[in-house]
Amino acid sequence: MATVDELLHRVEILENRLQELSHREQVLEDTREIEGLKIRFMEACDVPGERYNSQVIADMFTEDGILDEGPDIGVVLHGRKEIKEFYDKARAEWIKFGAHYLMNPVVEVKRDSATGRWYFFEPFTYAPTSEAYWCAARWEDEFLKVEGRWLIKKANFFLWFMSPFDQGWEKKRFPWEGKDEEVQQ
Amino acid sequence: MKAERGEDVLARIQRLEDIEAIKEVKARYGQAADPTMNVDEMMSLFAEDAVLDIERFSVSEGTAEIRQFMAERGFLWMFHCMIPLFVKVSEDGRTARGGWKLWELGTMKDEQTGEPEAVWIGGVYDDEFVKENGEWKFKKVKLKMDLISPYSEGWAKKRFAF
Repeated sequence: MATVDELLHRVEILENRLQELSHREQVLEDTREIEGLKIRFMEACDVPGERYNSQVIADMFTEDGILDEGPDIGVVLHGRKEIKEFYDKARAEWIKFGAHYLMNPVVEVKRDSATGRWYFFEPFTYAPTSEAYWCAARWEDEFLKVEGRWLIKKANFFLWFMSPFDQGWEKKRFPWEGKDEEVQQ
Repeated sequence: MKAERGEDVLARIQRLEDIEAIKEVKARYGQAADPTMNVDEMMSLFAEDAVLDIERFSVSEGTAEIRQFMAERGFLWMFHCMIPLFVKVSEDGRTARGGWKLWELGTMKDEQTGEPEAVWIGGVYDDEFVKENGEWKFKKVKLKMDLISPYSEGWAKKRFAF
């Protein structure tokens, strides 16, 4: 017959195991939720008839969220208002067609914050000239869990190339390449 | 009965964690290779007796041969998109198999001219994994090629550049 102390000890062991299992299960759920959030971000850019749903995109960020388009593009957006305006402009002025591909996710969860890395690939049509382009990049993002919901705290976009379809990434890595020389001539 | 249920939940969570960890190993393979090969980072993903079988390139056996292949293969720039097909962990949780579609953008030296040339690469991975000291590693990476096409010509005109 086990003594009360022995039984209490066993209960404590079981409680600890349950807590550990619950934590591991939570990490799996959080990982899936963060991957889902990023996928919905890309979907919100592409859905036919609702392209660049800027409000949906802005609401995926924390109030003071940042979208940093990286050194090659040189645009840093602060807060939901600026993010929404950026995607409104993308829809109205810059991108006629686009398909946002997201690959190779690596998400690391630390309780209420997380980081995530993805590969990004996008064929698109630049509206002002109707030219076809490819774009390849990587995302390195930070996330925060706010009132039970994962949001993007900072999204960092690192462009690898943005090349015209008819030239490819080896001949022309960025559309602005060579522009300075042309101006000087 | 209750203890068995506890073990069952533990095994199911472990399995999900294993699948996530294996997907991450494959994503890290891309990150180690791109945009230019980081050989040490890449080799940290392979088990000692691993095999690397890349169709139309070579078969490398063991870490010394794999390291040599990774260091010397002639890509100037790479971008590996890994599209998951399946991950299957063995009953005992020590080995696994995984499939991915590869869609790769690369820049290679043209064999004739030596000039850099953009290429598309498409293929299918059929990989094996082993768990070593709690960490999943590649035991075998096998890539079957569907196309290696110069950007300038496309896959209809030239399915394989070599």
